[in-house]
Amino acid sequence: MSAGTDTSATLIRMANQIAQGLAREADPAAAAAEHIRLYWEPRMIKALLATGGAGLSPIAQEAYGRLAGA
Amino acid sequence: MTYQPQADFGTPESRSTEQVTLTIDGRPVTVPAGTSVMRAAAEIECSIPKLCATDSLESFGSCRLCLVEIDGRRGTPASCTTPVEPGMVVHTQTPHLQKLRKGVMELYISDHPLDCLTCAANGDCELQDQAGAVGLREVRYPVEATHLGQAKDQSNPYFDFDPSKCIACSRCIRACDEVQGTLALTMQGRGFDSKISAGLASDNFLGSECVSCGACVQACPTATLVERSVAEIGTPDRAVVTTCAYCGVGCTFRAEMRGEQLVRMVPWKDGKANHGHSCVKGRFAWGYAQHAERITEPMIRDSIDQPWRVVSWDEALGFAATKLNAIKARYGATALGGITSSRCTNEETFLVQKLVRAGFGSNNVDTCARVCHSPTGYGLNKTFGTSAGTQDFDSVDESDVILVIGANPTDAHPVFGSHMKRRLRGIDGRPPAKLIVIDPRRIDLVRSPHIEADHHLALRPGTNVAVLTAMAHVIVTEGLADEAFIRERCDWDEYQHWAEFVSLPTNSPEHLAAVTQVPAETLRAAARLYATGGNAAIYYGLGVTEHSQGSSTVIAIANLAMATGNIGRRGVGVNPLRGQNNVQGSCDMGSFPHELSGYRHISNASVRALFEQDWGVELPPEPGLRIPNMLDAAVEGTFRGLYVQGEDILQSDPNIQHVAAGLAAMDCVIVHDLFLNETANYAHVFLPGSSFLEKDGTFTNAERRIQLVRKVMTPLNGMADWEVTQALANAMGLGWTYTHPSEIMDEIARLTPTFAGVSFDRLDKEGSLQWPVNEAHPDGSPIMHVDGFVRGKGRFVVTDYIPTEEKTGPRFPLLLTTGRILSQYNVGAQTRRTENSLWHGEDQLEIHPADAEDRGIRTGDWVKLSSRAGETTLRALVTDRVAPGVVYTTFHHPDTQANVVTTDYSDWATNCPEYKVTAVQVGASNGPTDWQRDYDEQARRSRRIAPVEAEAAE
Repeated sequence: MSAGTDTSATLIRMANQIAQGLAREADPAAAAAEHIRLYWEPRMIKALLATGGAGLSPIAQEAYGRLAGA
Repeated sequence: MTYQPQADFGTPESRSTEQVTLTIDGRPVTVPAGTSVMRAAAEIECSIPKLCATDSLESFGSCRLCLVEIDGRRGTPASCTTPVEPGMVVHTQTPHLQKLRKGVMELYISDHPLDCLTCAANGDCELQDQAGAVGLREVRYPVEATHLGQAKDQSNPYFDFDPSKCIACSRCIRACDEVQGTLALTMQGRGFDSKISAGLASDNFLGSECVSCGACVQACPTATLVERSVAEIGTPDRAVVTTCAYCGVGCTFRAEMRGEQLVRMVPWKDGKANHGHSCVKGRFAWGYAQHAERITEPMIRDSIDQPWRVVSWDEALGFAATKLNAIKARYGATALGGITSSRCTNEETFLVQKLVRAGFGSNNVDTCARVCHSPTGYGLNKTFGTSAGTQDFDSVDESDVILVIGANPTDAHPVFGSHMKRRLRGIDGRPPAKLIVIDPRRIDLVRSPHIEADHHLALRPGTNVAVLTAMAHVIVTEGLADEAFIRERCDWDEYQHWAEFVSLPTNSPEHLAAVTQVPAETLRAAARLYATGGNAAIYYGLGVTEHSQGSSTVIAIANLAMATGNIGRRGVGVNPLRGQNNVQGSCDMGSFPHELSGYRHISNASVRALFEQDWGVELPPEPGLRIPNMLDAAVEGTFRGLYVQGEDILQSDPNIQHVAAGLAAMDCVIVHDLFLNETANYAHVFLPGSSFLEKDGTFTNAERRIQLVRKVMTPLNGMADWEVTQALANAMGLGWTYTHPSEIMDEIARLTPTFAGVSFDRLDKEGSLQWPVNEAHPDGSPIMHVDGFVRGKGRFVVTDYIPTEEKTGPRFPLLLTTGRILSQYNVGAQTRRTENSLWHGEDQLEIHPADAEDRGIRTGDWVKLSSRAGETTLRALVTDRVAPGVVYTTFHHPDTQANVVTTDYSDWATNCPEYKVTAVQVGASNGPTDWQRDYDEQARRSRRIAPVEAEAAE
């Protein structure tokens, strides 16, 4: 899955949705990053990281950073 | 063994714990207090003659045949209406009784045709049996006025009604009333003119309110109501108990057979899910299993524009294995995946995910629960610690308040719907349970005979979380929460955090009414009733899960149950009504890409090690792709081979054009099914499947009840589905050696702690088991979280209402929501191939009169339904069942293609598609859309099968 396709838009949307769904957790970004690690297949995470993160909400952006740093 | 109907004790079992001893015909018998003399006699195999009594119905006392003599009592009381008393001395056979019974029977027979030899009930007729039992040898009455020679009503496709054979015992009417709860049948006229009517005098059985559940046919003691299959084939000669393959209720039936021919399915009285009841699907709609369109030979083709070529099993499996191995060699294991079926057995599902994980070498396995109850798994796991409903079905008998949200039990789970209706009508002698319905549409439960919902919250589609949060607001701010329960059983700090959130003024019913369209006072009253009305149980369905906030809604439901202490005992709980017969089982069996059987995450090294040791392979530790992501990856070229067992993703998954594009991009699509389904239009290998009548295995129903499926006939395709999967695995070189599904269950039990105590032997002996069955719960678990939550402390999770991104606007001003109807089942692959289509031949669009008038639409008009995703056409039904602004349709027919219109928005946590909310416009139409025409053409071309060459066929 490469950046710049419809799929990357889907992944950005999914990441934003997850961040929003977990926004009330004690550490929303950590929860979102953990959720993505638990449920996303590695190539989806790779494709998300390849997008550069444009279009991510602040929480999702922070989760993105944690995934990238992992 | 010759055919024996199930024993009939005449009157229902008493649940009293007090025991009473009496004497019947000189023999002592001890039975629970409240038992009838008739039933007590039956317990010692003394069969008192009877006609109007049967143990599925309350005693009626009308036939005057079951008379007995009791010492110290005058006259001859009816044994069916006389309860036992301590020390009672009963005589069931005396010269006086014999004379009375013979006289009564003589009257019955004087008005009954004597065509026993050619009668459909010959050999299985209670009237015939009782005439024999009372020693009737002659009928002295002259043949004058009788009821003979009346026309039969053959309007129902599955059973005939012959009024000439009716003895007016009212068993059919009482079954319709007490068992089914439809109250369609009635006794028309009085005295000699009494006649059973299907409804109004002008109604026949097809046109009346009758739902064709078969309860009346089962109750009829003569051939007045008899299955047409019995009339055509003859009486069965053996019966095998098995489990229905339709919905998640999991009714058990006696498959009554003659040789390998199925004569009829009769609901099994000892079935713990259905207690002898059935619906039109399970009881009658099994003809698809022998339908002419069933494919029984394997087929292959190199590309989907070619016609199918019928080949041998060896060639088909070799072809498939070569393709899969080639993809794996070139693109890696992650390019392969599989989809397990919620229609198949636990053992078959387990094998498919094992093939994917151990054979293909990826975790790319998913199941149709992705599109239905995946949010249930997520939500209940987060809050309670396990992904399943908390109660057994019988628990509803002890409910005082029933809250139904996003479910339509009388259509989608009809046998449980009838059970629930008995509680709602209070016919068990207790005050009726109160009812709250939260649904955008006025489902039948809201108002049906003798039932009226106390509150119907007709919310705007997509606002479930707002409604439930507002209910929580009322419960917390009005001090109705059960703090003692919460302190003992839940995390108090998390509760306080949650309580603070729901108490915010922005979560009040008044504030949220603008969003939900539910009047604040109605919502407040419903919340108060749920919190304070006694045992309160929540039942929910896909109207909860199939939303962008599906998982949040499940969590919100769990929060409400915990906050009010409605968890951990009978009569309460959180009950997902599962759609498919084995959707619970397929989830339990490790069908999701992120977890192994028993809901254990794939990243858990010790769990993985258990499987690795047993299977002798290394398992990838990362989750695999979900169905929509498989399709995305296929379009991008990194996912190239898919094995689909018993699932029609092209019809059942959202955004058909995207599914079609994904399938079309793959190198090898293997469809394993009974029919050339819609997905098979894009397949390269077709492996014929077997029906539930043709295999052994187990299904797990919505109450976690594991029940045996028993093979009653040889598979038409030659192999049960588990054998086909094993053959494919072996063609890929895996060397599997299962000889019976029981060995697969042994493997499941070995590897899955919640199934540790399950085996075919035990299921055979005990009838069913509800998981967890293990050291802590050796006899299974009808109710969960009794002493504590599976996860320890129950967890409150804050659920913010987040509106869906799917918005109405000037172009798409209406909201479409979808659902099911009683007579059809899901994508209709089975039921459309039965006479059930007489009730529902096409999907219709329900539209409110105001919206219809604005658009000049009348009932029966063709209308175009368009959304941002696509458009389709279907006929309109103008009705105020739906609110203004909301339209509704079913998705049972492929030519309608409701999923052309639904979007690819999905649940935030699980990607369960948002089927229940689509912004649409409706307008007049002249006929099918271009998409429908193109689709038909593609499907027609794709289904071509090349003429069979002599050597190609086995």
